Amino acid sequence: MTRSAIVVLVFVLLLEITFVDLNIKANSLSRPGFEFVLLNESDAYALIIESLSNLKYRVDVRVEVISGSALVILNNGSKILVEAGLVSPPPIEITLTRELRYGGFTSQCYSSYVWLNINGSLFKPGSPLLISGNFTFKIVQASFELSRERPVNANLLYLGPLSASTLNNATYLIDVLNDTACGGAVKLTPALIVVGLSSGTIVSLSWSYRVVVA
Amino acid sequence: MMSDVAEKVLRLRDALETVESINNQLDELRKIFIVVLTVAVATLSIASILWYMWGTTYPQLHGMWVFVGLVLFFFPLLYTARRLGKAAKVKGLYQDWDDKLREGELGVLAILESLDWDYVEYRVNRAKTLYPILLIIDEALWIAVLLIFVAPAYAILNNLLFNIIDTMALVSSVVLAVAIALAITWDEVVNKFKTLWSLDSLLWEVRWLYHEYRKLQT
Repeated sequence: MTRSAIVVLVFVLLLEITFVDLNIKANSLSRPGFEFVLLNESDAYALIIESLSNLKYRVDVRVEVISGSALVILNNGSKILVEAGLVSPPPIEITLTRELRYGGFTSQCYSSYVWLNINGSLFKPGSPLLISGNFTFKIVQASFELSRERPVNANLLYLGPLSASTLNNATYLIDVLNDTACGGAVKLTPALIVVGLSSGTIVSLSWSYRVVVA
Repeated sequence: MMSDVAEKVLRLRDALETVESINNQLDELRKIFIVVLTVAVATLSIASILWYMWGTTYPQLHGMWVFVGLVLFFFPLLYTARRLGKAAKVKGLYQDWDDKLREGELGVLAILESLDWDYVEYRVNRAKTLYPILLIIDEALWIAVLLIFVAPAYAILNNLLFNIIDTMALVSSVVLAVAIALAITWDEVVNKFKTLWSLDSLLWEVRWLYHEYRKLQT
């Protein structure tokens, strides 16, 4: 009886060690990013977080306007106006969380995602469109590779100029950017969107993320 | 008094049978090693020659290495287990002790007189010294047999829970197999160690009794 209990204990311990080992690996994946972007009026960049489903992670983003002024749209749809000044504004810090610390059944996913910017409005490919007259067309595309060993990644994407009506409806913009890829195995989440409010605006963006142990 | 002596002699018989069993298995190890090494070298040589001769012409020969792997795993396992199993059975050496004990004091004396004490001591010391080697081989056989079942089961479970089969899963299944092997063989190992390590005092006791009998007789 005692020996059976010891064998069961060893078995449970081995599973726990495997689990902890996977979490340690997943937690040491932080690859911080840093970018300066030059924005003309209405130009927009989005910081998209790609993550495997069933993953809990935390993203810290710091936005600083070096010159000019910019509008920052957070992933809940709220807007913040940031202007260049002598005193740098406090960093905008965002924490995103997903369901579990580690799990799911996707081991690797290599794919890309696409959005369309038509006349300053953002669309998902395949959306029913009715566009008349002249239109400008831009494809917003990014490729990514996620695996169990690298379950979260951030991508800074140039969305192109956005129209005033699109910017007014920030929730719609966030909805379009909130998407899935790899057959739903990968969740795309916009951490924030930064839009230039005057020509020659320079914004510095830095971000880091960690898988959070629940 | 007589029943006490008979009980001690019977204990000595059981212990000496264990000692003989261990010694027989130790004797067998050399032969096993030579046979296993010969088969392994022969299998690898034949497979390598076939591969170098026809490997490029017939790439399907690659499957042969799976067969070679299976031979290298299963042959030593089955052969060693069979030979050690056979060698462990001690028959005939102390079979007549029961009959002699029924004869009473004379029978006991006959038993004790028939023993070559120096030889017994040598066999006991040999068994005590080399038993750990046999134990390691025995446990390794158990672990190998258990791994056949434990490794695939653990890999499937790992894949279901974590979607991963890596070195960690292999190491874990070996650890699990070791734990199960120890759990299965623990009683036997402990008993053998107890028998071997309590044999000295038993031997001295029986020898003392033997001398006492001799004194009484004279």
